[in-house]
Amino acid sequence: MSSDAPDWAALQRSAPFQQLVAQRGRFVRYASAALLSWFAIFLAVIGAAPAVAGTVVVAGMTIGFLLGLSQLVLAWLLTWGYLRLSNRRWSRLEQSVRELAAAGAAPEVAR
Amino acid sequence: MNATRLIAFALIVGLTLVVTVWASRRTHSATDFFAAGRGISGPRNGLAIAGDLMSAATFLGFTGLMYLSGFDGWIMPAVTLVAFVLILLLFAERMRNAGRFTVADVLSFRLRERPVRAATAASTVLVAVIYLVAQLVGAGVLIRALTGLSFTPAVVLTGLAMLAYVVFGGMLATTWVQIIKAVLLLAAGAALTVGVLVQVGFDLGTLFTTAAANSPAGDAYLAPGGSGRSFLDTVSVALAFAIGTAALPHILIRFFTVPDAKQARSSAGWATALIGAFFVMTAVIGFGARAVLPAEAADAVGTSGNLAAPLLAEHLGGGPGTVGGDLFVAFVSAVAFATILAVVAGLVLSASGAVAHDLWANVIHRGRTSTSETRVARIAAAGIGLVAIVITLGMGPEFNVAFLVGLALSVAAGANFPALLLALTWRRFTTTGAIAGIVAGLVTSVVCILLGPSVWPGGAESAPYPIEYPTLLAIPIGFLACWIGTVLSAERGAERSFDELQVRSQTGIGSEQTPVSH
Repeated sequence: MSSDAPDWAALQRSAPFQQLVAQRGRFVRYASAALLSWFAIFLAVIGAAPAVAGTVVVAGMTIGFLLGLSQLVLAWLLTWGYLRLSNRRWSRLEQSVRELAAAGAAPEVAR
Repeated sequence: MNATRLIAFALIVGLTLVVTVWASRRTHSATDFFAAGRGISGPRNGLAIAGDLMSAATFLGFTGLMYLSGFDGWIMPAVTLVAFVLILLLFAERMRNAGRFTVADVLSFRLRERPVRAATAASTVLVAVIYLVAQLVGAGVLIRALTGLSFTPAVVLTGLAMLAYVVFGGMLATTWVQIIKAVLLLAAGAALTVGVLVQVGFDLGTLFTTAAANSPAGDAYLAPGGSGRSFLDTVSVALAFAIGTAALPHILIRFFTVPDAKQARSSAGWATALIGAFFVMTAVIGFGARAVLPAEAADAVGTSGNLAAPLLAEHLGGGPGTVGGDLFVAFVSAVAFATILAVVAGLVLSASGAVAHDLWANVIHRGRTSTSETRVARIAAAGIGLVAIVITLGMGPEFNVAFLVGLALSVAAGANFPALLLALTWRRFTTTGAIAGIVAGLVTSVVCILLGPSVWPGGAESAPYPIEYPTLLAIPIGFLACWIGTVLSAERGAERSFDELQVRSQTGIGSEQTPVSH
């Protein structure tokens, strides 16, 4: 970038960017934790209780099969949640940061 | 030889070559060649990403494993979607915002460019070539089984088609071949699924109970243990598919083909939806093949299980020797063939980007124009493709490729994933940390494979590392090496550029924006 490059440190400290990082970061942390925990529980049940995993619950499907299927359902739900929040909230915050950058970023910060 | 199937294969090759000619007329700049001019829309890119994952290994392999070992075959499709959620949460938008053509673009943003590019390019090329050989061996065996064409011409024909797409049509041709294949594969999957459901009267209870009754294992067919894998093997395989898939270079570079971050996340969303739906279908097809196929089909399916889906198609179409059976199996076989063609093309493209954009343009010859970068990329693609074809022919059809997939996913999970994640999220991360992580993940994967049951010369029983996939060790060692390398180095420059990378990668400021045009 040339001399009119945005002041990255100032943009990084700006209110909309901090809000964006806090909100999106919180979702990403909780969603990753939920995803990886449910993945670990699936494997733990297979390893520790194969007989339980092999128990038929409904329509010929075993607990293990349904736990596997629920991995897919959780993935779909988290994806849907992320996209919804992105479009409703985070896009607007991203736009605010881009506008700040276009306006020459927070002037109170020394370069 | 089977004429119907050969004609179906020829139609697929013809159609994809027409696409290649069309794409080659639109491919001029490096952005065209590596990133399809950044003109692919989110839903189309989502289809292409889904196509990259839905390889012959997932379509024929997963259904075959469910046919053979029941529940144990279901574990891999059940966990693989984790990788795509991780991609959406961690990588999709950031890759698009902060990179241009390769994974190394994102890593070298705040780290010292030359060593990081060289290390990342090496691991990208390694993953691509290993995966490529695994796919090509599989292709040769599969085409031989489906059409009667022998191994060598099958591999050579597949390899030449793959080279044509990449060398002439670049990312645009590769993406459209992938989209066409994904649509065909989803259609074939849906047709097989509906066919199975009709046979069992749309009753899932009948489907699973009949499958268990038909299996030699009985009720144990629906419980863990059918594959004879140890628990640590299961965990390693699950980690390879859940984490390794998230850092496969040929999947990550797809996010460079969309106009902006919004389209990047939309493509990850489409991919998650489509791949999940596809996996549900593979379950119906895999368990359904066991429920619907007659007992004597077990021999024809083989020990790899790869022919379960084609045989199911033949059965549902009316049985062997009938026109319906012949047509349905020809369709499913042609789709499997298209799948191989599309996936190998994507792999060659990712490796050629690493060679031309990372090694040649930014490490060896810094500051040349992008026109020569594209020329080098075409030459690199041809070279890598030819090397892979020669290795494949040298290994021959009897070579067991399962451990190659394990090695590729393990290098991705242990070498690429930790370095990429930490470069994007850890302020303190340094060049030394990244290099240490990449090298440690790579070396651990290779050593564990060499000491493991698939390769150890003393036989599987006496192998010093008793687990087939190295991921259980490679992922923690990759992260640990990143951390140790970082805390031991005195480098501080990377912290300053962290603010810039954060703002750029999370908002898209300064990234190339282009309208959708393809």
